[in-house]
Amino acid sequence: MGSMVLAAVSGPCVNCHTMHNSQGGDPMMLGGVTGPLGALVRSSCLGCHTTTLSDPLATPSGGSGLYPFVKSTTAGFNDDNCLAGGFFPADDGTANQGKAHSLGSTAAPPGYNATPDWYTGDTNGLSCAGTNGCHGSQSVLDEMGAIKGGHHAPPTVYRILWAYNNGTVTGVAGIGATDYEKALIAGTSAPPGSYARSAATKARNIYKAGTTNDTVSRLCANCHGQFHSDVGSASPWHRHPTDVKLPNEWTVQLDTLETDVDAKYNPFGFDALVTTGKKYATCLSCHRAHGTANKDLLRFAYLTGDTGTAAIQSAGSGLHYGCLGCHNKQR
Amino acid sequence: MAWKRRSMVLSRLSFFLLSIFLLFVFYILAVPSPVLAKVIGECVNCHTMHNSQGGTPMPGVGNIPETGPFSALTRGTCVGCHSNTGSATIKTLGSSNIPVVFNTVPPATGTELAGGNFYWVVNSGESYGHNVLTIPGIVQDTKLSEAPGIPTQAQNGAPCDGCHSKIADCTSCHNPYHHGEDERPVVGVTQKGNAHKAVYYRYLANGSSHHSAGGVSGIEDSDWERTKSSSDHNEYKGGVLSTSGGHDADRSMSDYCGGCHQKFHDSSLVGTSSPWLRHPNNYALPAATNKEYRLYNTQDGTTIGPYSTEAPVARPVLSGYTGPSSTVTPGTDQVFCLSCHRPHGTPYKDILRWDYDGMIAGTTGTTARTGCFICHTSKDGV
Repeated sequence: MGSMVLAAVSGPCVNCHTMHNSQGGDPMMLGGVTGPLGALVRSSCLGCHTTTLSDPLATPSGGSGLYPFVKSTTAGFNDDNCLAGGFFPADDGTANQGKAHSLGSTAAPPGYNATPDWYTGDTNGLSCAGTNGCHGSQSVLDEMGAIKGGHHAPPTVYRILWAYNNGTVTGVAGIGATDYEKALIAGTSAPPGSYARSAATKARNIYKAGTTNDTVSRLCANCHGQFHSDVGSASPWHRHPTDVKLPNEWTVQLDTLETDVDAKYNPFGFDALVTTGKKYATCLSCHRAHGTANKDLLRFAYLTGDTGTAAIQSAGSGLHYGCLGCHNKQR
Repeated sequence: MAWKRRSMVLSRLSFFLLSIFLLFVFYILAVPSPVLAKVIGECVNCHTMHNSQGGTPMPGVGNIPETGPFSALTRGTCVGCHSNTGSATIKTLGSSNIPVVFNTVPPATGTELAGGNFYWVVNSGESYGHNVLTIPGIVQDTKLSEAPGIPTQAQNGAPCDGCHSKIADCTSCHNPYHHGEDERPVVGVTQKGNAHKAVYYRYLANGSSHHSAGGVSGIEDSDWERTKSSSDHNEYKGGVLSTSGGHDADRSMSDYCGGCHQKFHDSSLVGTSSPWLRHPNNYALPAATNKEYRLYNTQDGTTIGPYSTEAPVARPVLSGYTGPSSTVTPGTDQVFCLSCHRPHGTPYKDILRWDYDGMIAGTTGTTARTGCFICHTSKDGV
């Protein structure tokens, strides 16, 4: 299904690097990006991970190997054609507002309560990595410096992600699908009601959850800490819990299967990174990190008017995924 | 001959399939679709995951100012959701219909729901309803420091008075398990799920760990009696009086009221028919021909009338009921607490369904055959 050790980047160095950002008197940057950039790269994160086409995992023109793309300039991505992290919209206009992390925004992250205050994106604008973003070191400003070692050395952390934990930096654990869940997302449809549960067959990520500092929800808490720590308790919750085990008596906990539908619409977290263990709620059980076709980066339609491909979550609707994938009593 | 046999077989098969189909259609048409008590509708109507939208707290759906986050990730408190600044007593959020128990303006005439309305407590005074302290405008009663008829175990600072001496919030009476499994048509017959999360009639359930789990049974009218008639109403569960009342033993409505007003429900304190010391409840309307109650709700003075939504009766046994019935049977059906009262609030003192001061024995006026006289049919002047 996946491995912690993903293949390091391979291919001609010139595809990604330029020594002096100069060739025949001209700069060597790609994608309209102004250089030079850290680590001698020829483009920004999005510059390399954006495609003009619609295949989210493909070899770009002039490149080699498969690039995971998080943005399509021709709006080629949607909730059934993207990778596990989701996608940024081609058009950052009003219609797509709230459906993705707003790159470039200086707004304070909702629920931000980090101590010490590490985030600089409220001054510089949200970006992909470093102290302005999510990937890489949370103490390095330069994006390329922050993700240093993430592309060439076999990764030791999940998706070049570290949780800040208010100063105690811990690499996020997890097992990544080798195809970034491309086949799972493309090959799984939201059923209109209940469905015959059988074990997942497509490659999927396995998210770390639990009480340790290396969970994926801890990463989200770097910026949205209040949503992780100020949630109340089981009687009663004030905000949706994360890194909490689903109650033993819930249907999904009694059925140890994780299906392709669950993996796409309401994936569980596991404390031992094996899907035969108890199921946990994580941030990624409901959200994708980059963006989706639904508001609030949700994997499913929750708000009236959501344009995602799944029906809106509604008590009594009989749906068996999304909110109702776990909350079986509300089906 | 072979084709003839085949034809006969096919003919019989077709007849069989047609019969099954017709039976199925008949079943669908004849058996009313159950109206579920549990909430349905878009999750977003009532819930917010993080109480954050666009960097600001999620706007509530209630009609009173209040700030989250709220328990169970709701977008308002009980009264926040179940209140309305307009006069409508049912409001709609998306595809969810929400019963309103607190209008900040007079409820639309004739549309008040079965439980009554806290508007009257706020605007008419403390004797016009239960003083639930979380409702804006309601304060601790100036005359009553504890519930009238309070159980001895809860009197004067006794251990039980923490729950039984005041109505701190809606959960003093309701255990609002909105998504719990309930059965139809009679809710609360068998306990489903966790003992303190089982669904009972109108979520009237014992939520305390100090009591054995229990609650009230009943048939819930689909629009909370916003529209009502003798054949369109709640059906209430009756039971018995007892010296240990208030513990939901018989799942009756009156026994539940007895949780706080126990002395009004205690068989040793209410008395007997000779004489009653307090108004009976969970007691069958006498059927004897020399008793006035046999003419319950009479319209002509000589024959019994239909079920009255003004002075309802309770049924000691609800099994067998598939819905509301307009028939009242003296000797079986009972007077109970809600025959005279509504639990939230009414326009009348003592949370009565009518103006007690207007009940004039011997009257032939407009109050004849109303209120008390619906049962006490010989006491008015008609």
